[in-house]
Amino acid sequence: MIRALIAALTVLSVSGTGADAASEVLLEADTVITCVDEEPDIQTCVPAPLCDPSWAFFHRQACAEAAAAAVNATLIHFRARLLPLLDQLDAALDGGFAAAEATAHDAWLTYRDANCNVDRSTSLDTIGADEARDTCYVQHGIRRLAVIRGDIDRFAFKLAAD
Amino acid sequence: MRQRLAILRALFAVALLSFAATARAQDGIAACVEAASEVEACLGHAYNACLGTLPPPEDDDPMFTWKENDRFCWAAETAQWDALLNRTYGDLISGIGTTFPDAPEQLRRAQRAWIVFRDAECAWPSAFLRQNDLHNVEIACTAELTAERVARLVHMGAFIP
Repeated sequence: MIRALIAALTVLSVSGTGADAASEVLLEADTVITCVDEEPDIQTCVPAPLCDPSWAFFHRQACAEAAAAAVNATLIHFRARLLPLLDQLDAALDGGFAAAEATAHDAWLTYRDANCNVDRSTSLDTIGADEARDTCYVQHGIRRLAVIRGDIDRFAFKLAAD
Repeated sequence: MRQRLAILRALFAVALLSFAATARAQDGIAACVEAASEVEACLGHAYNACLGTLPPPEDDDPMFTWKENDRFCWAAETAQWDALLNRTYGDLISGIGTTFPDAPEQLRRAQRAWIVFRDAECAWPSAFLRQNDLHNVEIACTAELTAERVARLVHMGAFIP
């Protein structure tokens, strides 16, 4: 069900220059999820470089928006894997892990939004403001994904060991 | 009298050496950041330098000494990143308003939000790892997030004319 929701949220197609069919880019959460699952270096899963700086403004903006949506959906997917592990740890160790993680994640969202607002307002051209904000979302999201993936591995190992 | 002078001389020498070591260590992160292409590549720079200056564990409980050394050196690392963060933030907030009048207030808000995030983020893995008696993870996490924040502010500053 989660995957269906993600697919519904993020099947976004972004055109390139229009003149070159090869520059057609499909940014789907599924692609990012697979990459985050398989690649040791999560930075290689950043979809933002796909937004070619030489593209026309409209295409760049749409691409950045799609990339941010794909990363956000990937975050939701990986957090959905993490939370049951935390519930199990809470049951086993009485640690308050799920509550602590929720507090930290909410604080991260507030920080990300506040920080990306700065990027938006310091964009040198008004028309690039949303692109700057969405690119910032992608950068923050990829870092967060690295943390969540590490937590999933660590907590799964801990549960298996106990 | 001669004995007292010898003690004073020894104390002075120790103080001088300690001052020189501290000064070198304090230059560490800032100098590294200036030279490095990636700010975060300097994470652990002061920690490693600090560990090298401490005597190896010799007592009956080497694990205890190791943890004490580890905590001490992460504190040194965090202090340097914190100083650099304050300087970078100060420079940015005083300059950013010239071109973008709304930005200083937004940057202040982002910085406050970051502090809340840092504290929450570094408290919760610590709660988990405390089960394994590794207490120093909280301070190491603070150093890492502070380095990350410095990198972001440096990046932000680079795009401001």
